[in-house]
Amino acid sequence: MIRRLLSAHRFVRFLILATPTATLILGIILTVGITYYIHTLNDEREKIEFNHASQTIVSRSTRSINSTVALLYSTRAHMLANPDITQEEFSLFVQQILIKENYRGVMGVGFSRLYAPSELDQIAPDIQVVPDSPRDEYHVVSLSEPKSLRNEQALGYDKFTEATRRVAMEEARDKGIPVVSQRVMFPEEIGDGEQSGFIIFLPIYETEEVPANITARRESLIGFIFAPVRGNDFFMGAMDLQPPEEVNLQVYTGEKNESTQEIFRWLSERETQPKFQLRRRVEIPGSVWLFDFSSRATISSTSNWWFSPVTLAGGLVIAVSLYRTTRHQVNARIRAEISEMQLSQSKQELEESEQRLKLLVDGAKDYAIIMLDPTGCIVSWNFGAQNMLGHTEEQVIGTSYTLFFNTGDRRRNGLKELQQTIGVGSLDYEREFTRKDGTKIWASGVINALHDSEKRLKGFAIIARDVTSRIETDNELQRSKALNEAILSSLPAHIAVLDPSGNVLDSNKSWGLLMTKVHHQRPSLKAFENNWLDWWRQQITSTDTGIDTIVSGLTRVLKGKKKTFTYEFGFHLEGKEVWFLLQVTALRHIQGGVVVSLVDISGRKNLEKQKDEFLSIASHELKTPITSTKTYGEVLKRIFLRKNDTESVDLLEKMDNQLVKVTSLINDLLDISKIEAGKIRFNKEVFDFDDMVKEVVDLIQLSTEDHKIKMSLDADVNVYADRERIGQAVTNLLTNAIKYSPDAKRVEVMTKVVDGEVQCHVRDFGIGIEKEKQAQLFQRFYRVTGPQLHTFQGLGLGLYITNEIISRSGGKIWLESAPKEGSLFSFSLPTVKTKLEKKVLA
Amino acid sequence: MTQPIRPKVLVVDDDEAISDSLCMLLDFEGFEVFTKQDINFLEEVKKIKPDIILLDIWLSGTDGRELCLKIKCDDDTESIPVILISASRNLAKSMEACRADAFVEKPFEIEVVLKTIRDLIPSKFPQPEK
Repeated sequence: MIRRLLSAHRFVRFLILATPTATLILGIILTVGITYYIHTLNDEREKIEFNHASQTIVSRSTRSINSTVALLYSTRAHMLANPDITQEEFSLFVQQILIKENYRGVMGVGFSRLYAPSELDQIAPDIQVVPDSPRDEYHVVSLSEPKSLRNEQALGYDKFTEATRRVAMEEARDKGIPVVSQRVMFPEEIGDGEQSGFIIFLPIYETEEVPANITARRESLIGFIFAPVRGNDFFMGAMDLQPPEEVNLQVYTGEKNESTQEIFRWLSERETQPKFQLRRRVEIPGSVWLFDFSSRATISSTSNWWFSPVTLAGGLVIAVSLYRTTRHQVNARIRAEISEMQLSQSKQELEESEQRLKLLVDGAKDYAIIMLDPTGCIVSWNFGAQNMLGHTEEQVIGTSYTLFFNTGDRRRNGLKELQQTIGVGSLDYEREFTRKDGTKIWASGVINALHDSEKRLKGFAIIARDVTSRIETDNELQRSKALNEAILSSLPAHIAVLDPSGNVLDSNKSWGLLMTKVHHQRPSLKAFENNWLDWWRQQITSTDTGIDTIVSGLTRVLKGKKKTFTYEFGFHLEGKEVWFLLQVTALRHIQGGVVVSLVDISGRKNLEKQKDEFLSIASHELKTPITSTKTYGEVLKRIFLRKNDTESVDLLEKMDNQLVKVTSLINDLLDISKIEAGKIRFNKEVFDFDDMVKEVVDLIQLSTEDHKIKMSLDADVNVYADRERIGQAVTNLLTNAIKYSPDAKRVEVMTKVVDGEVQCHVRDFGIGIEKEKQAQLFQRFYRVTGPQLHTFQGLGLGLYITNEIISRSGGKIWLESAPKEGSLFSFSLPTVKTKLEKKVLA
Repeated sequence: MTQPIRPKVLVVDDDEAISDSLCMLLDFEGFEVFTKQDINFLEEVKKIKPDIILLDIWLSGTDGRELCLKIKCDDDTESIPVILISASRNLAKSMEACRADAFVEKPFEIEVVLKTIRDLIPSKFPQPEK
């Protein structure tokens, strides 16, 4: 079981099993981290304390020195205000200041006056100048208060004679500022031992203002106000006699920490490596002091040094106990999961199946799946329903499903539909619904009534699909069909649609009427329609190729071998001959089949027939008098010949030529009319091409004496064509050649076979034809025009007819010509190649 | 010298002018000319016994091709050559249909008519007059 558990979710299981160890490791890491942090924090705090203590000492010391300087300034002001001050007055002034109380370490305030050697007699007699060696200037302490042994001893002393004091005094004098001296040693007083310290000097000049330059200052100097200060007392005073326990301090005058310059020392007994060290260079009036700070071991005793080890120990204890607890929990959980797994195994399949169902319902985006309670209110609504009707699940849960009905449907049907469903169990429907945005959709689907095992109604399930596009297509189709029917029924044509087997699928009214008319004896129109082709087979009488042509043509279109088939045919209907134009058109886009249309063309056919008859009779009637005229002419010719009247014979021959032209005109007109009507018929036969040409040439040679027709006939092949018509074509080319070369004596006719085709060439040496006019030559009614127009008569039909004959016989006609160089007209025709072919065609 | 025997030609055309002019011309050319278009046509032919017949197709009241067939179907007259003379086209087809021997299209060149006759009855063809 554990193995299964492990293998099922290996990674997750590993994480669970590793949790106790991970907790332990994490606890240790955290503890160490926190301890280290606390330790660092302690150090930081100690450093801040150290810095703070140092800063406090420095600032207090600076403040003390500044207030002492201020004392000197006020003393100088007093002295300047009272230039003849007596010793008693000065003593009183100093007493008021309360030096001992207010200025710790300051031993007193004094005045040393400058005397030139000549002025020594001005010194008070009770003051003895020390030392007494002769010199340029004497600085004699004349006032020194308050009264004390040391201060009394100082009277008369010349400080200028001692190097350290002299440096400070000179600087003060020259700069006009107060100056603190380097370290000086003060003589031992009673009981207090020798002390080091410093003296502050403030120059006093004859004027209240400090003179502008050094020379003036030296000249107007009166003396110095000074204050000797004991270092130890001064700094202890600055620290209110409570120096910090955690800091060592040594103060030096000047820039260097030389022991000879040390003016204050506060050191603990223990010599340990200090944790923090700090050196401060502090500017004081006229000089610099160096403060050397270092921390004492006692600095840590003031902080919570024990906090780090306690944190570490506590953290480790917590980590270990957490490890134990977690391990216990994990073991318990594994046991619980194993049992839970066993428990849930049977549930799982059910859940999975429910899950699948839910996925199916939610995933059915194209299907709305809606559950209703027994009162018709919506209880579930899938994504497909939202898609279809626009409402979200939150919006519709609890509302009646008739919400989506059109107003009319809601009134008429209401919940009737559901009641019906209860009766039958399941109900199909297709109806228009209203979407949330007011648009309409068509939906098709089924409603199922849901019952529980005790046959109590639990609700309804509705499944619906959007069929709007199908309904719209259906409607469009119906509209289109109605339109088509309207168009078809208004057409004069009889139209039917046949399926690929030839059965009538659909037809217009006119087709039905025609079929009824031609088939009234049949019992059922339907039966007839399916056999309509059989019926045609019996009816069609008056065409030469008839029903077989129709059937084969129709079959070819039905089988998709041809796109269309057109055919005209006639038959007898109710005693009259009627003609129809049959058109069969393949339906490419609708699974095969064809459209058959029959148009009554009887009227046109009758007109054509009348025209044909008229032309036929007219030409016959025209030719008859020409024939007799010609024959009478021949008779006359013979009479004149007998009388040797050759002049009359010539005239008669000219007359005869004109009659030949009239005949040819009549024939051309008749041919044109047939060509136009598509009625020209070719009676094809196999004949020897050269023989035919020779006959034509012989006949034409009879009618011309001016031109000699030269033949070179080398074709020696048979062709399958209308001999008479091809002869007519050759005749036309020859008569043209003669007609358009009035000054030439010769016309040439050649035949030969080129590339399996027979070619006939007719060459004349006449007027020729310009290149740009050659293309028009084979058009109807075209004649070569120009200055010679009057010379060449005719309707311009000859070449048109010739071209029609040749091209309808499967041949080709062309021409090479240039003005004044004559013309070469040629045509080609297919030949009969093999004996077998000859035999078959013959 | 005795007068040579003139070959008999029967001209059948209901157009009077053609019939008349053709008769005159053939007479000129040395033929003995007959014109007939009776109802009892065949009897007439048998009576005349022409050497050659020139026959129009479009006759008033009858079709020349039918007359031709009658001639060709009768043992007595079968051998008489018949030339169809007509203004119709497609005479070749008609000729075959009625078993005529030749045809000439109207309006014709008289030389063509004479040549056709000469070809059909070379031995009886009259010599041109000197």
